Amino acid sequence: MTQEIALFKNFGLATPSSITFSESMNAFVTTAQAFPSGNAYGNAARFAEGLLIKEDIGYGQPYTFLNGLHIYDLKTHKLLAELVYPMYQGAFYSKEHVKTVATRLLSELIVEAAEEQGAYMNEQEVSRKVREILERSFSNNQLQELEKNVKVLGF
Amino acid sequence: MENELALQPLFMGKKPVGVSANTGLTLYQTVQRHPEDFTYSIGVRETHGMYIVEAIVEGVGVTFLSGIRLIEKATSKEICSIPVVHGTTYSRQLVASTVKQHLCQAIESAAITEGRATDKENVERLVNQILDECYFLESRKTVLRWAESVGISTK
Repeated sequence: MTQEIALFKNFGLATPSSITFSESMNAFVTTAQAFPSGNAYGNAARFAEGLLIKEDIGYGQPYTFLNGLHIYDLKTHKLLAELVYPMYQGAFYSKEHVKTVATRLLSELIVEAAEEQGAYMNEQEVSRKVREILERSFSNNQLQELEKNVKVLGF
Repeated sequence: MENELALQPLFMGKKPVGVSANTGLTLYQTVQRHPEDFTYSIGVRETHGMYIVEAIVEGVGVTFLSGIRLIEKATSKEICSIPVVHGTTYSRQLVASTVKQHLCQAIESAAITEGRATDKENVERLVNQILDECYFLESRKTVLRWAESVGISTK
């Protein structure tokens, strides 16, 4: 587990001992921390073909919210893109919403980056490909993805 | 003068203590009173002869921005200090746009004081370019490498 801990540590995930695999979410989740307001906050993380997608989750009563999303490059640990909602203005949580936000953030960034290099990319086409990758990755067993990434990245 | 003296020990001549995954910020000072408490950090970005000093507060599933200072690198003089509303959630987009607004204002004020005219639009364009490079250039470079690795190519 030490190698897995080292991997997660690079992405600002809470105290590593608190990370567990949730079968129902097919994601790695941290122990939520309670706030005096009565809400609790935590993270979830998923792997997607060389990326790590980290979700900031707010557990309220009776709803769960997506408060933010960070996308990292696994090799370089670089923060690629993020969307952070203002406090108490998070979106209702769903895996579909996570995929939609991640697709939009990545597609926009890729198209912008290509433009900077003087290349044109069709945003719809990029978006379709990114969505395919995320659909596939989110349905893959994330425990196996973790093992694979630990080996590939040499942790 | 007091400000300048107070700022110097924070990071000048010191080695970074790490990188904040939630913000991409190079950290120079970090304080956590209790393992389950928030982590209070000071981080610095360096761009075009200027330090952007950001104060952040990181918890589980949430990161707050608590203050920004802009410092001229050559003289260590403060260009401006930017107050941040309590409970502001951190995103690079928010910080970059806040810095842009205050830096443009500072340039305009200085020009008025010296009796010089400024091309407001040009100042905004240049400041935007500098900040965009500082906050997002690495992300764009990295995402292009990732895109090519998964078959999303500009060619």
